[in-house]
Amino acid sequence: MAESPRAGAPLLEGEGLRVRRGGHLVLDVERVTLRSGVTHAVLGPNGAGKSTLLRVLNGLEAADGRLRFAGREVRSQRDRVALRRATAAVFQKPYLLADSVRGNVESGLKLRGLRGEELARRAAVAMELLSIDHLAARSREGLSGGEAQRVSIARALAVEPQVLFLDEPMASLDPPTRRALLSDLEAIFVHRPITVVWVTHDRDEALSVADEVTFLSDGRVIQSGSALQVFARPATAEMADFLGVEAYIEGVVEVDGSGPCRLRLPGGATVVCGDAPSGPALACIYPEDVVLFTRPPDADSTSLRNVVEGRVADIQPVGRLRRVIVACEDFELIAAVTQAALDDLSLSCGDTVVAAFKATAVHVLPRQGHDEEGAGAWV
Amino acid sequence: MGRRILRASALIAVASVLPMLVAVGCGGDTGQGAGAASASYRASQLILATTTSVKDSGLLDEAILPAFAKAHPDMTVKTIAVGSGEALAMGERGEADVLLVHSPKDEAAFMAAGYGTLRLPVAYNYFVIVGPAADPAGVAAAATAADAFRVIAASGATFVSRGDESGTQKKELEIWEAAGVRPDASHYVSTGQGMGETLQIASEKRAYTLTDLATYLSMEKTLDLRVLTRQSPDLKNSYSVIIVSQLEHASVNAAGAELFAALLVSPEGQRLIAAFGRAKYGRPLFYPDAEALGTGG
Amino acid sequence: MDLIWQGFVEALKLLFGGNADVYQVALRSLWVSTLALAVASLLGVPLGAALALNRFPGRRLAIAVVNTGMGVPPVVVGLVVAMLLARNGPLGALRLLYTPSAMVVAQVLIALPIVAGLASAALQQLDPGYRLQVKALGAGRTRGVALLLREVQVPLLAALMAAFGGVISEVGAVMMVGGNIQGQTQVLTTGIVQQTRAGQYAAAIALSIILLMLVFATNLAMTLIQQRGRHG
Repeated sequence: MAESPRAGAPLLEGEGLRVRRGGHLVLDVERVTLRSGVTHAVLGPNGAGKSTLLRVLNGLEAADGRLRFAGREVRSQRDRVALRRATAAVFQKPYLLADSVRGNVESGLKLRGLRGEELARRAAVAMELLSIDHLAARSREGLSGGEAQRVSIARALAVEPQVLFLDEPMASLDPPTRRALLSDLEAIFVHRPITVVWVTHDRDEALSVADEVTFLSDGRVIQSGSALQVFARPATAEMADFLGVEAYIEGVVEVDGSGPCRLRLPGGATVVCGDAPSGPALACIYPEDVVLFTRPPDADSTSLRNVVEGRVADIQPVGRLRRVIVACEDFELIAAVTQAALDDLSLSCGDTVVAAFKATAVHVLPRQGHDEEGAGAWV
Repeated sequence: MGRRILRASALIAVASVLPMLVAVGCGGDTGQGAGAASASYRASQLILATTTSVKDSGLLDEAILPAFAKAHPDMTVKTIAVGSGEALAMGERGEADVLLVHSPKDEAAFMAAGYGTLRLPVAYNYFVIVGPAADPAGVAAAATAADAFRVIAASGATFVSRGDESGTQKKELEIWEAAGVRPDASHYVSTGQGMGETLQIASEKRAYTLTDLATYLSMEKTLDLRVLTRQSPDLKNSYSVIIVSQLEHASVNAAGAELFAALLVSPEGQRLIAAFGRAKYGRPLFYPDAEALGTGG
Repeated sequence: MDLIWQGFVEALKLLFGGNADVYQVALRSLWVSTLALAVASLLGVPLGAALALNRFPGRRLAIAVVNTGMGVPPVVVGLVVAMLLARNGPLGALRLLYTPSAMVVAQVLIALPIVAGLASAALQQLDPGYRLQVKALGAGRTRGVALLLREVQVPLLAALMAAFGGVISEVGAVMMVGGNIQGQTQVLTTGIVQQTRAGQYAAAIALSIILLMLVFATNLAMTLIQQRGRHG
């Protein structure tokens, strides 16, 4: 590939991708488009066909339908090998080769014909990016799960792939390791013109990293769009169930030395949240944490820090609970209450209502801002 | 995709095995001269089929073959030791060029059927009946071989037989026929193996068996058996050399066979035969026998 | 008991007395079986990989055939090869019967299914994710298979050791196709049989000791390679 395509331009497109296994259609995707420089999350329950989609897009598996990479058709075995050479994949298990850490990181480069100084340099850069340069001489036996996965990622990044495919890369890691790795990866993606396809079943992970989210179920694309769209407006009840719909608020966390952390919304209003790092963030509030009042409680008689007024926009039954959508001035809240509670408050659509939630109920997900135009080169 | 790999593997297999065979075939025979072109290769290779008792005696390896190699350095003799029956069968199939066997009746049939062009007596020795030192059946007192077998059967002692179509076994069966009896099944052990193993089994079981003297002598130290008979005509064991007919199978090295047979019946060969074993055992193992010439017994 | 001890002592004398006959027999055993193993590996490892890594109709049957091949008695292989190489047999023109080359051929046929069958099993045991990862790294088919074979080098080396043990210690095939001709095709195993038959226990034990030493030495070497980088 001579030069990187313009950020945002379609890089990998699929049409009518179908995969049959044992007579059963496991993947049936009408259309999928990966844009250059964008991080795409593929989300869905187990067995949805996410991994299959990833393999098809990476040229690891053949499918019916059409696949275009950088404008060229991917049809034959040769095309698929070329596609794999231009991309890289990391899986749930690190699958490190019988070699040292350095040997592993170099393996992708060696397969592409690199030798000598250039090989050593690119490998060193990749190891540094993932903070594993101190492990270079170690054999694969002594590594922890997190270290091994870092090696796998370094190996993938070393070849400077046009698309990086990640198939549930965090699934085998424990939460602290996951957090550290996630944050490192976000930092890496921010400054590089790399297209990412991130398959996961963890919606927080998807929310954190993704610009665009595609929700897959039973081999089909249920919904595709910006992360916020998909999460805030799931297209089906099944999706909603899987995602655990909450209210989402986008804003910037401001940390003031003495006072509490606040999330400043685009409109100017603030929401008091628990401790969070400053910077752009996405906040969700669980419906279970939202309390409804018919009139505002006294400020000094309650620990609820956030109290807002709004109107009941919708009431949805969910099993024995009711989901009440409250439209406030700057955002939307969802409260989960029992029918009995609703009856007691005599609430129905259109009524004014006061919604409140604790600062600690605000679940903050820091989001790196993405540079415009995929700035910078690889290093 | 799978088919392509299989095809490639098959191709590699064929491509590597054929040249391997040729290359190894040309240089792989340790201990012999380099193989030349096909015709002369055939001429230089002689397959001698003989019996295990002849081979085990050492007569060939220690006396005859070195003499032959000296006289004909360009020829390689491959000695295949099997039972007389199998040696004759190899001759029938053209898989051997010259036979050195000791099964007169079968040899006669072989010649009568036209499989051999020439049959010459080479040597003889005597079979002996061996048994436990105590000799419970009283074989030592028997007058003839047939008598010996009769007392063995009568005494209920165990008899161990070769059971392998060898010359020794054929002789044994002849003697049983002459004796008119057979031991019952529980006292007759058929080993299906060579003379050495048969002797060891007889020794373990404290049984009687018929053996050629040479094999017995070479193993005497390790056996618990004693020679119980004298040299007598009914135990004579005649060895003949047969040149396999080239008419039946063109691949037979008749020329080489003739040279080998010639050595065996020559004065030099006969001298070697007569002298063999004296140093080691203090007595000859074979008696030279090349007097009459016959073509078909 | 006495005899065995005597034999043992005689054996040591023969071994260290520089007996040329004994050494040439040992050398022939080593050379025939090592060459056979080399050829069998060259053919068998790719065959095993092909069986393990590809889907094709009749694959399971092919694997069954290879696995059966592991258990075919060497003497049967020897009989078949001897019939093929017999003067008047289909391959008689090759003039290979009763030569060490024929012995190599027969032993290749014995070792090949062992190598292929165990190599195939080793690769089938490998986490299928490895195949995917190797493909994703951009490896073409040959490089890919080579990388996967490195992953299974422990069972693969075990396969080679099993095959070597199988051929250097077999007696049926080399007897049939070699003829046990002194100075030409006699090897350790047929030599042991012959010496035992002739009651020469000292020589038989000497050859047995050499055979065991050879097997141990080669397996030690291969085991060290197999276990390198692993801690006891």
